[in-house]
Amino acid sequence: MAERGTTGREQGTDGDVTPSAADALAIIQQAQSHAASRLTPSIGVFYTIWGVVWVVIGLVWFLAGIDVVSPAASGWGTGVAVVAASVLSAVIGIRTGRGISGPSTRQGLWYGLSWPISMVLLGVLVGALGSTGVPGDTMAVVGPALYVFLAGALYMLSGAIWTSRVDYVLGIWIMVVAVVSMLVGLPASPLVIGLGGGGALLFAGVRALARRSAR
Amino acid sequence: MTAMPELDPVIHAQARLRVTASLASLCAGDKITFPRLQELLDMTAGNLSTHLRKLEDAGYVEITKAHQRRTPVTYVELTHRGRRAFEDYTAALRALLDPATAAAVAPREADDPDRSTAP
Repeated sequence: MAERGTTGREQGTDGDVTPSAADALAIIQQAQSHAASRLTPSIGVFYTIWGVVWVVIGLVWFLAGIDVVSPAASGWGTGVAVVAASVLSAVIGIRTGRGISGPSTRQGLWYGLSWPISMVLLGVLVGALGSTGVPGDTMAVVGPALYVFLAGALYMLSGAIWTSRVDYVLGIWIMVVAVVSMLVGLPASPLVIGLGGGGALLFAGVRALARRSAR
Repeated sequence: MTAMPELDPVIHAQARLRVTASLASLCAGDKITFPRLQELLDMTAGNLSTHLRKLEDAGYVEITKAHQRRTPVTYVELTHRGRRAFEDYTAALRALLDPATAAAVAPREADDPDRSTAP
């Protein structure tokens, strides 16, 4: 840390520098904002990563729906985007939390795992639903809408856990997007999800990053 | 400059203040490894040890040694007493700087829109 102003400094009996009250308060603020930026992951980064993924998924499936790209290519694109973003999110989360242990680590781990666990189980559920003879076109709207709805519910819960109004509102908004995508149907439903959900995530991400860098 | 008798001398020294403030930014009950704390504060190991010992002697910091896959790890955490002392110290600073409004200053626990502090 840079040396702060020297006005009012005294030499303590133990040879350590004793700051003035104003300097002391500034030292606290600087130390704590430094610690917060190094020890807690920037939520804006997560929003942005996943916002990009949502937009990409929405666009590739919209393009598949209007026969511009093949569904297989869209499937691969979706898989690669989700895996890459998951790995990146996990790495960022683990890196920022390294060297720290205690109640918050357990909370962070359980929270982080709740996403892949519920998403994978929903995948099984959607797969089972698909095998019951539901028409393909219906499944192409219902499946994504269920995923989006679950993501919205998880965001809303995140808001409750971390007392984040942004997460809470985002969660509600994303659930609304899921419902709207169902009402709109193909071929526009992937676009509604990509732009409505992904757009909101990108907005929240850029806003959070701007605020964090302004501090 | 006038003396500030109400400020806790254990905390009121630049290096220990940085150590205490950084530890206080962790969630209550969380601990941090010595190397990560050292990296965060950019202090030498010897210097950090010296200040941690003073904080430990005052009962403000607890140092525990554990083993992770046979490698010894030293953890540092602020005790309840240390956290209380830091809060009192911060309140005393505010009172010194602005006696009129100090009472009106609420603890910093605002609705944090970007979740930058841990819960």
